[in-house]
Amino acid sequence: MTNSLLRDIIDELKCKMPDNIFIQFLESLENNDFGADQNREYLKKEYSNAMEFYKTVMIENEN
Amino acid sequence: MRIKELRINGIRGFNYLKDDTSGEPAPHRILLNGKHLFLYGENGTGKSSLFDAIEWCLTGDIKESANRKIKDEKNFILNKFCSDNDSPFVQMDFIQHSGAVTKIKRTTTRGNPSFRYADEAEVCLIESNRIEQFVIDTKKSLWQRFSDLLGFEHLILFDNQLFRLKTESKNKYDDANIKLIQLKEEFDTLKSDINGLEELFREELGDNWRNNINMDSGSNEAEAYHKFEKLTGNIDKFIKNYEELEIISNDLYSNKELLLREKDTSESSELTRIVSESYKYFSKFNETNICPVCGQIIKFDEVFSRLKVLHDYLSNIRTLEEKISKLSIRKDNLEDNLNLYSHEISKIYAELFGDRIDENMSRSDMLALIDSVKPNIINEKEVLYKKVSIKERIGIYQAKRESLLKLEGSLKDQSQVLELKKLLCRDVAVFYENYIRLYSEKIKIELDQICKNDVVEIYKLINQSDNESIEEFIIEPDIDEKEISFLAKIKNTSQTVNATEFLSTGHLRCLGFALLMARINTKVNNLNFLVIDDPIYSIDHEHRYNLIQYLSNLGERYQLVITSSDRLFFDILRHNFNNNKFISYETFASNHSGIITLNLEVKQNQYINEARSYLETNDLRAASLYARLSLETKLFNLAEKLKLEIPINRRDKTSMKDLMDANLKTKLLDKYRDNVSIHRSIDIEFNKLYDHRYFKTILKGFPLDHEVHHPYGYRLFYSKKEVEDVIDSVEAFCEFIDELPKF
Repeated sequence: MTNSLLRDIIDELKCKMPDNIFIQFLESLENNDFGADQNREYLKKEYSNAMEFYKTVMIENEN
Repeated sequence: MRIKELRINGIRGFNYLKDDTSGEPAPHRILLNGKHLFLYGENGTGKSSLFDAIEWCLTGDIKESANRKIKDEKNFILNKFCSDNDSPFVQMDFIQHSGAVTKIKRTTTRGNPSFRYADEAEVCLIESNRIEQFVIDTKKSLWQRFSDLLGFEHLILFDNQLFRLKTESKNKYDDANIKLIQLKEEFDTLKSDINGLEELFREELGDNWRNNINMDSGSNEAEAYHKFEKLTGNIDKFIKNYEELEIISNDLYSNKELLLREKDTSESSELTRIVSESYKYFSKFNETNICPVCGQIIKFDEVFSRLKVLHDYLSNIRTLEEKISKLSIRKDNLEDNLNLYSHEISKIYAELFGDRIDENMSRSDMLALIDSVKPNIINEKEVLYKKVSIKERIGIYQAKRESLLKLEGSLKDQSQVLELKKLLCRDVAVFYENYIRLYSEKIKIELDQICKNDVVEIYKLINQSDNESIEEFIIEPDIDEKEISFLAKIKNTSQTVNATEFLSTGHLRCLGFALLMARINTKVNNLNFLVIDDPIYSIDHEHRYNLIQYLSNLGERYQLVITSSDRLFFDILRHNFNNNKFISYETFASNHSGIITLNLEVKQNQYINEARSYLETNDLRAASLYARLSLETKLFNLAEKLKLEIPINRRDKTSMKDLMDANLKTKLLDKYRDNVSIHRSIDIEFNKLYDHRYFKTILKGFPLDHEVHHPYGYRLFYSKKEVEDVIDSVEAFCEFIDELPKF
């Protein structure tokens, strides 16, 4: 469960930056916790996951 | 919204229960109907399990598992004795203001519904551990300590992880950029090599060089070139050997001449042998002057010198002969070589030109022939070399062209990867920058709201002191530096001080609790219950009774679920609430099946026994408090039996003074108005209390927290003898009441 403040901030940033694909990636993360979980290792896992997400989005956009 | 009922099965310390007959789940049930729940138990008996179960049910999370850095949260939640077939769960039923009942049930399987007020619930769950961390974790910055206390840790954690991702994405982008630059450089070098080769081909083969290249004939020309190389090699070796043979032949001739001349001037082998033996013989005696045979004086010098001349002469002959022998051997070798080279030259020449050279011709003729054909051979060879060399370079050229094509593909791929990495890097950086700004602003707003909401009032209520010097707390976050300025304004002055340095550890604990309470006032609108895990864990003895008083007041607004491992605190807390307003349990550990919850029953004389026990350990305050609890219990039981009418709709707990004011004594006397003796005894026993310095005050409504702590000016101090007297008096009074005839 994510702190409502974090959710509010991300919602606010989403409105402000609708084209920011990274926000879409954050929302796609499991449990909708935006990665705010100390057991999650951004450095090791999330970078490659984010790159995969960007590739998918780019391919979809091209199509 | 208050808690109506809790059902827990197979979660944390609560073992999984089933109906013996039906086998259906039969969870632990705690029926509250909106009343407070006070839970007492020693450490390890499962009090925190109740807190964890409620937290998990409401928020889907258990912070304790994160604190302990437990990766597998599900295993942390499940009771250790659960089997795979069990279906552990927590269910909470709520009573709405309207009277409607709602419920939430969380199981360990996926797809649980989320609680509508989960965010509020996070605020309503108060872990004393948070307060303790706020107080003692001085290595952390105040920004972090306030954030951890007030539930901003998600924001900080997210910030840290985001920062790492930002750094990582920047590094990955930079690496990809460097790799692309290297690929471009490699591409440019290859392109330049290819252009150079094309220019060369153009120069050597003309503008139509591509058409002039016949790669198929390449192998024949290479073979022919190889033969020319072999032919010229043999020719060179022939010439060299021939020249050497000439020299050696001359040398051999002159040495033989010399030998002949030497031999003409002397006899040969016999003479050589004699001279050699004599020379050896005389060499041994070159110091001897007299002949060992005849005894005559030997003219040694003359004989020996003549022998030496002969010896040297013969040595020369031997050296010459050896030299001639070596030269002859070498001459033979050279002649063999020349024969071989002549044969090879003849053979290869025939292969290349079709004309066969007579390999048996004289060597000088052969040399003359070679001299005559050599320029043509060299010329032909050079022509062939050019062709073969171009073929080789064309091979290199084609390989480079293939590499260039591959590199072109890699460059395209790398450029796309770089674009993606650049995009991700930019997005993360922009997001991070905006996140930091918003996150800092939110914390500032939250802190402002919390500070405006009664922090000082709550702090003062818990920390009642005549010496209180704090007028106001000023908590100012510095957004850029991520620091918090935490100041305390001194009463009746304009002076402010650093609060963390000014406040004692105990005061900081009170403040921590006050901040959490103020946060509830700010954030909670729909829930009317608070769950507090061991509140006195972080509150020292001096402030516990103030806290009980504060909790009593809080209990008017919120349904309280409080756990404690302090029996005295628990007993006093219960006695500060009307009996019909709460339910209490004691937890016990069971060896094999988790925890068992039992209704707490106060046994006869339990409080008096506790009082005597504390007296023995010289804890006079606890002893006197238990004596007071014992008297309270007895008087309330009596009031219940007498059906004493006490004004209702009161905010505060009914006190002993209320009982007295409601004429408890008169009512009791009325019951025995026909028995003069009992009538008189009652009068005497009650007067004993009124006359006693201790009971006089409490029966007149001296509040519990004032009695033991504050204000110092009115605090009552007792000697051990006096406290013992208080316990004896209460025991005697209780026995007197118990022995009264039934009415």
